[in-house]
Amino acid sequence: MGNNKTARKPAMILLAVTILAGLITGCSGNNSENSSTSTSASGTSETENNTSSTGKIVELKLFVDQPWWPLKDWSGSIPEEITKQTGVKLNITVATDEKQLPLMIASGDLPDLVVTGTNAQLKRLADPSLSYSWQELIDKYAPDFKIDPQYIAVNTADDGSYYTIRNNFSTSAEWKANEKYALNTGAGISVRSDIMEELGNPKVETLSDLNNLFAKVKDKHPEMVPLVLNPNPAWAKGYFATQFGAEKEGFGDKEGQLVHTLRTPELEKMYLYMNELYRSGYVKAENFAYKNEDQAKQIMTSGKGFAYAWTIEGADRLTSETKASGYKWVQLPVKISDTFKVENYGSGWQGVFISKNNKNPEASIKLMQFLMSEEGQRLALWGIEGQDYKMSDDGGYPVFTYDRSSDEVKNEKGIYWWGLLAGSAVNEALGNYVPGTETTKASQQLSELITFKPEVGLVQPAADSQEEVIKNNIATMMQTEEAKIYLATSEEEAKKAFANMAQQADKMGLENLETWANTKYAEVKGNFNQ
Amino acid sequence: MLKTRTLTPSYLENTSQQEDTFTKRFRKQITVQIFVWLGLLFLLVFSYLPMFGILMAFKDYKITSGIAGIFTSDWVGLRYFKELVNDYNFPNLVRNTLVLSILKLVFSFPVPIILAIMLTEVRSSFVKRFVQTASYLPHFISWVVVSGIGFAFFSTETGLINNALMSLGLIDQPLDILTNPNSFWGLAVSTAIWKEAGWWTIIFLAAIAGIDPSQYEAAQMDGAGRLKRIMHVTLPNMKGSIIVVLILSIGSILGGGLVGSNFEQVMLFGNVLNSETSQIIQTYAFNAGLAQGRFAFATAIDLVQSFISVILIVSSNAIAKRFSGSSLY
Repeated sequence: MGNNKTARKPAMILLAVTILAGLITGCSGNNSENSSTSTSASGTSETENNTSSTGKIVELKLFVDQPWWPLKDWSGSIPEEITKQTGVKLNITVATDEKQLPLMIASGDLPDLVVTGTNAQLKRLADPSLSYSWQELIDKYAPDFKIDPQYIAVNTADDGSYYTIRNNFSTSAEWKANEKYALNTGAGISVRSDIMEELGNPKVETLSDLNNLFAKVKDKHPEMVPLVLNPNPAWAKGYFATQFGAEKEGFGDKEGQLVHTLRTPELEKMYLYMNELYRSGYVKAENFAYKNEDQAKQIMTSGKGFAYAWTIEGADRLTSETKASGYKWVQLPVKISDTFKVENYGSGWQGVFISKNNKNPEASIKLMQFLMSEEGQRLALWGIEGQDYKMSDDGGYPVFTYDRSSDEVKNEKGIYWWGLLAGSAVNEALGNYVPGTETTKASQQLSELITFKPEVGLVQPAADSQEEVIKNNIATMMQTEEAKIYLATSEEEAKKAFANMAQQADKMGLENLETWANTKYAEVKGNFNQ
Repeated sequence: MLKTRTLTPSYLENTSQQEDTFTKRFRKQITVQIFVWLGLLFLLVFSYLPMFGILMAFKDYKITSGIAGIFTSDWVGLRYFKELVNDYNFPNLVRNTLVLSILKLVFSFPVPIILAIMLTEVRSSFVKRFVQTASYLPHFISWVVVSGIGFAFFSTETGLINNALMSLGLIDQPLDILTNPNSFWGLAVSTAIWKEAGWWTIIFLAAIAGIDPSQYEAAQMDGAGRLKRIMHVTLPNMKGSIIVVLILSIGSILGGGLVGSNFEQVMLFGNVLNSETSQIIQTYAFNAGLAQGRFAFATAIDLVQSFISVILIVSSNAIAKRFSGSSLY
């Protein structure tokens, strides 16, 4: 007994000490990691340096701030080729939700590189305490990295530095040079071609034609949902907003002044029309409860849905996904109303930030230099020339050897999505040009109707500013309140719900936001015209 | 020996003797002491140190300023509290939080007690074991899975229950349980009971197992029937456990009490269509705080909620002490 006790005691003490040590190291782990990375951040260029000199592969961590991102690791023939060309291999973490990045910023636990497309995070990361300024790194490590001044202009933060160059932007000169094949993309509606044929391929040239089409589907196929809306509010109302000439959210330019969409009759008309679709039984209430794209897509791929409001690429993508069941999809015409208007305010979408925790800023900026080069963009967006694509006879657009609309193939090759780390809008658009496809036909229609005003997109409040709070509060409120308009049981009720939403926005400080936006707009336009 | 000790109280003993006793006792208890200090350290690190963060609720804190920013940011007074109270949704948030929590307490609290008593009364050990296992297993299923099951059952388009009822001709229109604001509270309370009642039954079963069988025998001798035995023997003996569990669940009532997870339920079952009844203070804090990166505002919201919880737990403890003599402290 006594022996047992003496043998047990040291073991207990050892256990206690182990737990204590674990607790202490657990608590301090973060700090020590941070301090070691920050030391290496300043000293790496000499020790680790770039791969070309040592021949070693530099592994960097990249955080992708988009929970829906389809590629979960840096694998496939294209990432391998990028690694071969740059000596950089990326270890990927995809966000589980949109709250993860703000938490990482708060804890100071940022990986080497971060890619985000959220306005708030773009603004927040453009901070010298969190990210390297690209100019600083270019001057130090890549003096031959030349970026078009217009790209720099649309990415310059309030402190005068630029911390990223966002993708999906092209200068007007680039658009002009590629106007034949670089087509625009936007919202669209895809419908089942077999049912269209069954109904005698009715023409859809007006909104009432569209109503009639849904009515026929409801009549002939009562088991089907005539129209399914993508759960993303922007795609759900995108097609209808353009038909009414309304902005989906935020500000639009009206005769040189920025006006919030909630103040426009166009938006109200769009909501009333969408409410009519619901009251006629063409859209189901449950549609507004879907939280992710798969729920909506499943209705389409299982054959329960007739039309899907999504993007103009929808028909080709759905056809590719429903190969097994044999469904084919076509796009409805882009313009079916006299009040149609679409303005492109895009000044870029997502950007890569090189965090201050970065282990190898030199390799990072050189990786971005490669990805932004024409060669890098083509490789990452399109694939290996000769193997994955060849240029068309006139050299205007890539002709692919693989099914471009198949997400499965793109994911396997690791193609396209990593190209978005630094792809220009024109190169993205050229990759979408496939003669004869539904996407291309719709893009051609849209491109003829679109006008560009990137300066509107540059009016974004600073991170954590009062204006940003008001803007976010209004956007959140709209998402909740607009459901009440969609699902109102009468037009009167829908009008009341819209008025109530506009009134709420006023109470939340819309007027102050408008005043700020117009001051900023004047400033941005001034800079833009220089 | 006994006499000497009585005549010389410990406070008259000299200091060196005291130190000797202290060191001796400390050495003797070293293993236990380490565990106690570890526990205290754990509390200090994870429960008390983070409380400095509360300062944020009164400061113009920006997440890019890191931990130091909690202390160095400018004071803003009660700005965030005012903003919360003036939010257009505030009355709804408070109403939903309170109603959902109270409904859960009222309906879920008696279930494990009743289930425990019923299980004790069951004679067949197979049935007893089967019911107990079947009722506590859902505890191990995460709310994410429960919400998936809920969707598979109640969806108006693809739900099993709606499909079954429609094909049996019992209903003409599918029941919109997942999207109707009027059904959210019922859905939340019933799924919470289904998930957690069996788990809490275990505590009450343990309390019942500890009752001296002679009390039942005596009651039986006095002619008490089954119901009388439950009323006069089982329930009074369970009183202590019931009160402790009740105080604990009142303390955490705003989080969902015994059956917990108001937050998870609302995040998963809540949607824009039922937001009128589903939005609660916690989800609001989560969305305003983390999605927009407004940590200071979220801290202020949570502080308000913690304050209400403290008041609830202290007052319920005092009430329990007054009326039953049992209390947490």
